[in-house]
Amino acid sequence: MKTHSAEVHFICGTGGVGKTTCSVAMAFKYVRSGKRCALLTIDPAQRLADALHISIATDKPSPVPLPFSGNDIGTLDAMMLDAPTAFSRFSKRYSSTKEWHTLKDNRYFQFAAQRMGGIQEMMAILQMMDLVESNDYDCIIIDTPPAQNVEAFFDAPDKVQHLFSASALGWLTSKSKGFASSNLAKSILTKGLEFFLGQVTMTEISEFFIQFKSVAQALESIAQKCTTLLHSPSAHYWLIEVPHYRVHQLSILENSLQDRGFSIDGRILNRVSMPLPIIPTEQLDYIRQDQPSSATIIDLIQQLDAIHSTALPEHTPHQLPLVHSTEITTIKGLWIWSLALENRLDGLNEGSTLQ
Amino acid sequence: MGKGGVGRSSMTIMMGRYFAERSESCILVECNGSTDIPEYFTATSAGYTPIRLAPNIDTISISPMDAIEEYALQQLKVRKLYSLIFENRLVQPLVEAAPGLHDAVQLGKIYDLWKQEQWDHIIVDCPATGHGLSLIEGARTLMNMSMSGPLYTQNKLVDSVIREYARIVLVTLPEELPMKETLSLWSQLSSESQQKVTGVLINRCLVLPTLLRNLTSDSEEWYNLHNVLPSYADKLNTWHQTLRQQSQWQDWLHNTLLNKHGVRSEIVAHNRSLEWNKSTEPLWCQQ
Repeated sequence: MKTHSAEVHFICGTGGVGKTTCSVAMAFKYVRSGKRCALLTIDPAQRLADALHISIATDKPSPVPLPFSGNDIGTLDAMMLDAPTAFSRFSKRYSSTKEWHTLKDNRYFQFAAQRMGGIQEMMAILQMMDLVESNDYDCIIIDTPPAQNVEAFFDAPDKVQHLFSASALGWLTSKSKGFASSNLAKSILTKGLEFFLGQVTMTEISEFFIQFKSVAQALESIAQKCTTLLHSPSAHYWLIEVPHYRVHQLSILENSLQDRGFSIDGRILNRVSMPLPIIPTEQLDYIRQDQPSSATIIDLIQQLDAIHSTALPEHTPHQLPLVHSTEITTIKGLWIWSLALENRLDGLNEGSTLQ
Repeated sequence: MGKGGVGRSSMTIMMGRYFAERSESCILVECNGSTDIPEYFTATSAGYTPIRLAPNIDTISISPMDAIEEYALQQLKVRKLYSLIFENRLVQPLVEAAPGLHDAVQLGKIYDLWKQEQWDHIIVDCPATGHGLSLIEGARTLMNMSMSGPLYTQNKLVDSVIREYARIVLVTLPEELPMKETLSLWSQLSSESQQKVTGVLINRCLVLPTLLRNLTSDSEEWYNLHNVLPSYADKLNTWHQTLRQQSQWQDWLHNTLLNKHGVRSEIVAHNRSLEWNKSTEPLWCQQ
């Protein structure tokens, strides 16, 4: 078995917790230690380019200009996934010229590229493996889709294998050789599906699977390698969370990662807004008496603080300060923010054990 | 509809409660098997059959596999035939991967709820941006793929109802990434999908009472506060800074959507009660 030289970090979390920003910060951390890093975002919303304020290609990694230079500083390439173009790109790469000629005009192929269930996630693992196998990177950061879809992402290697496994292709492709070879059950199956999809589509689907055979075999072997990688020591999992929100979804996500046998390297609590320090009642009472005009103001501030600040959970993970959006609108701002992240992570490594 | 984490479920609940208080019945719909809503009502987890959460508020959690089964059974009439086709181990991966099928059957279920005429409002908590978009386009995708047959006819009907009766409320936050994502979502909805967008709710906005808003760090009152309670004065400063940033994004959205395209946006104050606490009529009631 080939061992992967690249370390792969998966940044996981529920929606809107700052996965993309944390992914960039994490990448910067490794760039500073001289690593050649790649950052791949899978979230269909693709906010990576917005976060970095640069244009990022979807067909190959684009170099990210770094705010500092130096001999010991590594490099960072970023890439956004566009599933339909990735599907075409990989299909073309793994099929013969003749197969590709038929495939690219097949209507089912075009629909599959756009809307096949799980296409986003399947292409994501292919793209990830492509980066791993290129040997161009020491460290690959994966900005995963939000909680619900991250399930689909980690299921994708298995799905690819099932979908394109020879037996599944068998009955569909055998149909093209004529109904004589098919038994009764098969004919009921195809009839049933035809009833739903219409004759035209069945023909196209069959044609698609015939021409797709070599691509499917290539994808299957990549998917197997991916499964191995996900369970290897080279894979690292990070949970991003924010105080208060989506506690339920987060625990589902955490359990699901653990059920898959992935050990979580660390948790990052993002967007922490420290509540006001507790002021002794006597002091507050004194101020209220001494300066009655301040009393209303103090009450209003306390009320607002109760809404906007967040009490920290008991098990405080790597804690990040709340970062206001204007502070991280530049690459430089993100770089500085990533220093905060690095300090927290290093502090933790020295002291306690990882959760 | 909106980006992940902007508070779509919270807004769904807020809308539901608003209607319920006015004696208008509604059903809150979650998709892709999510069951986040019942928690807020301390109700047991919802399933594929509607349950009652509160007076005038029902909920349902739609999952693609349940919807596929229901649809297939409607069409095939015979359960044995369904089992033979859909529970076949070779067919299952194909059914799961069929382009647009997941979205189309879930949209079909929403259409079924609409057809029952049991509720005044059906409020759908859509999946995050890209997945929400493919849900709402689900019927159209299958129409384009099948071109004829029962699948085509059924989805054509669903698609026409969605286009005619669906009103889309976008949810966003007063920050850069959600705002930019909202704008691109809006342009996809209005240009490619030709859906009717009612407006944008800007959730979790900081709203400072007038008294605090006037208490800027150059005022005498702020100086007095700083003398006795420096941490309070600092906090107030942070809020003023946040407020400036937020209003910058609120203005940005206003200028881009309202001024150019006549799409309204409305500020929703950060609160944990999930109640509409303004005296004005909310955006989703306006036509």
